Amino acid sequence: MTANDRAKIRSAFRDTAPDLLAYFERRLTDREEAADLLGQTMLTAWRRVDKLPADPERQRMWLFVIAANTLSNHRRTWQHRLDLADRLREHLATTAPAPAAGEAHAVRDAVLRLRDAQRELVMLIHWDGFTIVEAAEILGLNASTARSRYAAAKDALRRALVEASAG
Amino acid sequence: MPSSLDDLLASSTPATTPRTAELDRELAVVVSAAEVAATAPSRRRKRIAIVSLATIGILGAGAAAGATGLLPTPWFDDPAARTTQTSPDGKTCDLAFSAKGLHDPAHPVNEATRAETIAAADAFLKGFDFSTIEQYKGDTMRAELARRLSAHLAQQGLPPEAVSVAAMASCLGSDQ
Repeated sequence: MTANDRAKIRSAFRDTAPDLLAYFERRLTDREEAADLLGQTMLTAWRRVDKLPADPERQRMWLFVIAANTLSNHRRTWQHRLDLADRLREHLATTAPAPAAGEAHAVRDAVLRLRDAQRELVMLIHWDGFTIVEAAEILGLNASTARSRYAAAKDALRRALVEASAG
Repeated sequence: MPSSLDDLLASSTPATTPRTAELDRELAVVVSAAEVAATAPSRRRKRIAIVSLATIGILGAGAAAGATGLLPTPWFDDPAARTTQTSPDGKTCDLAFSAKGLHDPAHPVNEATRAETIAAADAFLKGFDFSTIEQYKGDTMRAELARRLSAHLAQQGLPPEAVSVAAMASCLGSDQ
């Protein structure tokens, strides 16, 4: 690992860490777990630092792919708490985000009821701000599959929201 | 539906922890700790403690051990601040800092003032953004951090000589 590698990955973490934390927070019921997954993502990234892209935007995408894999692994297996994330975990435990408004709550429920493959795509695009192509890359999909899956997800959401407002 | 689906979806984004200076500091701690954890070699890391008067010693592993020896340092597990630094000989060092009371006969201070000064120094260390001095290496970094702490305490009307800053460097690759 060269000094240049170290400088590049530190810079990538500094630029991306807040968005990575938010990504985990939006997907975990226990917000404090977000701190552990952020730490785990960074550990994995350090161990693969030789694969870190040179371009800052590609670095961001690279980190989000690692984050998505970390989240996927987390959902399959029990994870140890990481000492390195202790302080951040405490910070999250004492800092409550604003609660959702009623309508936002209903829409969020509809998103969460989507099928797994559709739900993550919608979250990445509408909650995390990625384009369809970027979301496809994070999920390991080709762009055309992502587009058709996204269109189906929006159809399902429209139906769910119409039913909710009618009921 | 009164709003477009895109608008509704945007408004449904779950709130996350507000972006504050405190959050940024905690994230910086995770970044530093991950670097240390990920790059630690399998062999035992060497912990070296340095205690100095109102200053912070960030020295190469050999120089630090030679100057002060190894000290019992329970505070290392809960320091006020941590960061990483590359030593002059290229080793990665995990640095930890805590404020401790100092009884300097040349500068007598009453206990209440000393306690207030320690608390202020501790808060300064906890909130210190090490990225603002990362360009300084070795003793130059030490001098700059000491200068900023002294200035901060003096600005609050507190005596810098009432505290010492204990620093520990845990460096990778030490063969001592």
